[in-house]
Amino acid sequence: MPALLLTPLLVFLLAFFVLPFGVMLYESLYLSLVQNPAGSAMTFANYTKAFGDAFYLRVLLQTVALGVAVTALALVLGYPVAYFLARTRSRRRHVLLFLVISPLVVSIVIRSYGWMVLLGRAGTVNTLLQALGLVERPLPLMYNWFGVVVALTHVLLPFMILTLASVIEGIPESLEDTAAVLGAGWWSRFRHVILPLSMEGVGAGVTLVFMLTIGSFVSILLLGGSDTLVLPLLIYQQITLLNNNFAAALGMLLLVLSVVLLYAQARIFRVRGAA
Amino acid sequence: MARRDEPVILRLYCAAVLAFLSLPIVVAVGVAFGSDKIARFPPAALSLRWFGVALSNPTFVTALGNSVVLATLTTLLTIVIGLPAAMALVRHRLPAQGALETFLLSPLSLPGVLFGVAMLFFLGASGFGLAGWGILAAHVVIAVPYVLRTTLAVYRGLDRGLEETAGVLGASPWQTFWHVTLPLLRPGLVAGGLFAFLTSFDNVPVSIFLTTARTTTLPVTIMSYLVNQDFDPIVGAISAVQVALVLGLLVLLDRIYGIGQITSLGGQ
Repeated sequence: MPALLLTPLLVFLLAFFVLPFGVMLYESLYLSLVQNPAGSAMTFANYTKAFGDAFYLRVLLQTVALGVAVTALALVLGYPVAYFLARTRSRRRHVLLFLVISPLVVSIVIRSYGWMVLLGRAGTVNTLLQALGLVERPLPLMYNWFGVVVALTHVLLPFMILTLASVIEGIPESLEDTAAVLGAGWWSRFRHVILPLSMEGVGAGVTLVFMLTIGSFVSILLLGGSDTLVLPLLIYQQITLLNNNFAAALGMLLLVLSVVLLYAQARIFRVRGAA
Repeated sequence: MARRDEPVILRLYCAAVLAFLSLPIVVAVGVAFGSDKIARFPPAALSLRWFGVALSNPTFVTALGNSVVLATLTTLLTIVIGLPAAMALVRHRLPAQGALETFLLSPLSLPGVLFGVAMLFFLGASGFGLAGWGILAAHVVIAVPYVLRTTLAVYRGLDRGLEETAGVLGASPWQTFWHVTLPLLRPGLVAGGLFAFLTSFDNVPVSIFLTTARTTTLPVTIMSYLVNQDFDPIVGAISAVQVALVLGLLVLLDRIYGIGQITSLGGQ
């Protein structure tokens, strides 16, 4: 009986989720017919190309650097909000939660469009800066790393806030009350009570946001420029150039990276569950 | 209990971050109400003409139609295969339950681009090419974890005694399912179904690899419009309608389900 109920989903995912990655692995181990019209021998050439070429290595490094930058920003911006959300007794808590969640359900294309209107050469920010006499010429705020980091931080911030808030909510308030009674100010309570106890949440949020950043695509395609090449965009580019086999190898690389991070995240939550 | 007020600076910080979160959405919607040829925020003069322009653009209208059909079919299919799986996971002891659940929810966590490319290879290798069912199957894969997750959460919270009582009182398993279990699971199914719909309706990274000119979806169409740097407020008008719809749905979801439950933040 349980097998019967589970079978449709399991078969569906095996056919349309696992098998496609199997095909990708297979494709990554062969050269394209253009490069190698005669032979059909299995090869790691696509992988050695990704790791052996300074250009592709730089793309990998940029991907990781972008992940670190966005994750750090999301943590700094998100932690206080998560704390506030978890602890406030205000009736407006519901509204706050709504404001944090609502960007998640608005299409990323639409949010990127909003940033394009804000950050363009004749956009809202540049117009404002020029009107205030702060800059003479419009600043380059998009089609570069700045635009990418702003847009991605915006996309991923809610994930960080919600992950952190759910952990902070689980820390007994009585601990903070005790610290307060014993004379600890709010900074001291944060530094010595809340922060240490929320480290699992920080770990989970950081892994999640890093993983989502290195897999991001839409915001970077729209707000990035020619120099903001990262792994997902390189894959897309190679597909449009019909270098399918190389794209497949890059895809396997991103897959391995994502699965490792996914595993790390699951471990963090299991540790938390056991504690 | 000591009453601890949040420091003013914390409140200000939070207000600033929340303003940052709302900013691009407000701008994308606000642009729609301008009369200029160029998207500008705040608009210099107000007008509703871009809504008319958007509605009379055959490319966007066709894409919208495709998106609605695709998202509807995706939602129905995810519920049909997701609900039975959730029931099996909750009511039966299965081998390697944890690993199984992780696997079933994993499409949620992998980068969309990755799955889009893999599906492209798969459809190429299968010889069917970019058929319409290919993108439908792909959307079901990325949407089904939402239905599974919300249904699991609601089902785990149910009192098992209700189903057992129905059985003791002579209800067949099917009657128990139809008259007891299903109505109790409805909030989970509605919430999961709405998320499944939105996932399909908003998706770009998977769809972009699998659509053709005939099967293109609304977000993919907007995307290519923006990549070509067409900056007229037509996208703003589409944004305004979409944001209104989506936020309306979110409010609805909050009413029937509670926004805290969706995010696993309790304390309603």
